[in-house]
Formats: sequence, C-alpha cells, structure tokens
Amino acid sequence: MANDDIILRVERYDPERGPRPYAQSYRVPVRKGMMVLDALNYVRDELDSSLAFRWSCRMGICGSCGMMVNGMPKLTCQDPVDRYRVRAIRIAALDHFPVIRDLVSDISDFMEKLPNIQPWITRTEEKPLSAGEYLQTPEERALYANHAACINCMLCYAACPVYGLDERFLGPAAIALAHRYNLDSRDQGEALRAPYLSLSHSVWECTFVGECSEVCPKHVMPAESIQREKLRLALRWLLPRAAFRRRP
Amino acid sequence: MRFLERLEPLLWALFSAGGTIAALLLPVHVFLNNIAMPLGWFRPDDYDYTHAARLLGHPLVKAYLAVFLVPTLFHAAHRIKLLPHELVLPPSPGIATPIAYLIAAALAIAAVVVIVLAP
Ligand code: SF4
Ligand code: FES
Repeated sequence: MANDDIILRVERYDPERGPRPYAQSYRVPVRKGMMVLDALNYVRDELDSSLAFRWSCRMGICGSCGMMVNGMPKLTCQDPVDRYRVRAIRIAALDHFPVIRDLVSDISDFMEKLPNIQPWITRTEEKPLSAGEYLQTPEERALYANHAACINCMLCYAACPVYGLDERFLGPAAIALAHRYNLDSRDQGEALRAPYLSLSHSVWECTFVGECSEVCPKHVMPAESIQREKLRLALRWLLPRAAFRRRP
Repeated sequence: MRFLERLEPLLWALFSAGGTIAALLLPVHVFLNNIAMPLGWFRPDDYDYTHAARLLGHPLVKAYLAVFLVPTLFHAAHRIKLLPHELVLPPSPGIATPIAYLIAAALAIAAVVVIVLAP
C-alpha cells in the first residue's frame, strides 16, 4: 500500500439488497489538498460506480454534501482528508435522517416543516409600487446577515441530540431562519410566525446543547437564535400587545 | 397538555429567570448559611431567631425571598422535564411534566404564603 493511500470505510445501504446497512472499504490515493468529497468521487469514478452520494458545488454553497465523517457531521467538500491523521476514515449518511441509499439522506421532514415558519419577507401592509423599494441600511442588514447564510446542509440536525430523540422538534436551521426573517427590518411577519414557533415542539424543546452552532459550516449560530426566539416569544406572551409596534 | 402548551412561554420565562437567579444568588446563600455561619464568622446574635424574624418582617426582604424562591422552583420543575433529554434518554412520559409543574406551583404558593404570614 502506497504511503499516502487512505482507506474510506463507507457505511452503505441498498434497500434492494436488504434491510441492513453494511460496511465497505475503499483504498484511495491521497492528492494534495484532497477533500473527503474528492476521495468519494475518486471511488465512484475509479472503483465503484454504484456508490451513491450527493454533491454539487464543491465550494460549500449548495449544502448537499453533508455526511458523518468519523462520527461528526461535516460538509465533505470542505473537509480536507489530511485533517484526519488516521489511515481509515469512517463515512456514513447524516445522523437522525432516514437513509435513501448509501450516503444519501432523506430530509423531507425538514422540508415539510420549513413552510410553517414562513421563511420569506411577509408584509401586512404593502407600499404602493410608486413608493419605491424597501430600503435597508447596512446596520439593519448586519442584524440578520449571519443567520441568512444558512445553506440547508442539515449538519445541525445531525448534531442535535434533541432532534435525535424526538423528530417532532422543529430543529436548529428552521428556527434560525425564522429568527432571520423576524430580525429583517423589511419584514412584518413576526406575529404570524409566533403561533407556530410557540408550539411545544418548536423552540421550547431546545435544551441549548449548542452542538448545532458548533458544527455549522456557515456560522449561522442556530443555538443562539433559538434562545433569542424563546425570549421574544416569552416577552410577547408577558407584555401587552402595545409593546410590539409594527415595523413601518 | 394543550393547556400546558399555551403556557410554554410563561413556563420558559420562569425557567430562564429562575436559572439566572439560582446561578447568581444560590452561591451567596450557600456561602452565608453553609460556610460562613458554621465556621462562626458571624456573631451568634446576627442570625438568631429574633434577628431573622425581624429581618423577615421587612417588606423588601419578603419581596426578595419571593423573587428568589418562586422562579427557582419553576426552574427545578423545568429541569426535571428536561432531565431525560440531557441524559440522552427517551422523553419522559407525558404525565411527568404536569406533575413536576404542579409540585412547583404548590411549593411556590406555600412559600409565598409562609413569607407573607411570617412575623
Ligand atoms: S444552520 Fe448551519 S448547519 Fe444548519 S443547515 Fe444551516 S448552514 Fe447547515
Ligand atoms: S458540494 Fe456543495 S456544499 Fe459541498
């Protein structure tokens, strides 16, 4: 075995082959600057075309290449192979999601929850077209900018022990996104999002473990946004309605 | 349970306030009652019955104790609800949560009654 070869130990699953996952190992020659995703692509191109995994942009933007690498949720296109000072790297589909095949997870649970938080700019009063666009200062944008960087890679769901125990939990990325729109100076939808966010399995289920913020490749800080949403919702409950002036 | 669900924001606010209060004030009380007093750092008549009773007669002390105890009790109830999560066990049976909150509410009422009626 060449000195700079690495072994990928991939947890595979093929529903047509049987209900149980199985492990398969591949030997991959390491190139300089190789990412885990590059190693997987080498396997598919050179060794085994049946290996299924998702990827698209290879630059940390599309969010489709998330997998468990040595037990940690990682964006594999941003995860250098030489970070792992071991001969064998274990690769599996993201934790806490059903597996469709090999390394491809089924994230429909998230996709179904997402519209409930209305992740778009919601206006209760529209300005007439003639009044021009909704302007925003750089400071107003900075308020939500990092929460808007989410690429829906689902690493945070794979890292969240609460979601792992109870998939009814709305989960980190969805709440961070709700928070992002609640912070947006152009948005007037906070009151519309509040009833769904107040349900038991929404924000309250979070126990602030913080792993989601730890693993997030885009520094969205979902754990922090969840605590802030809890505070907003609690104040909304405790204070008279008049305290919440609508945004212009 | 729907009723509890409607109260979630309030229960979380009490949990959060109770956690902050417990973290800030409990160490002070532990220090005073469990370290300073047994080690005799105060004069005995600083904490004898009549002195303590006189202290408790002051409305500010009463208010302080209520603010200290009530959220802390609800914090404890919430912690009991979260315990299985934190130990990575399956969620507690649905009935455990209302029981924890009922106990917290009963103790909170008892505490407030004692504080108000105290001399
Ligand atoms: S919050 Fe971060 S970890 Fe979660 S889906 Fe968005 S980018 Fe990925
Ligand atoms: S391939 Fe697009 S984020 Fe990794």
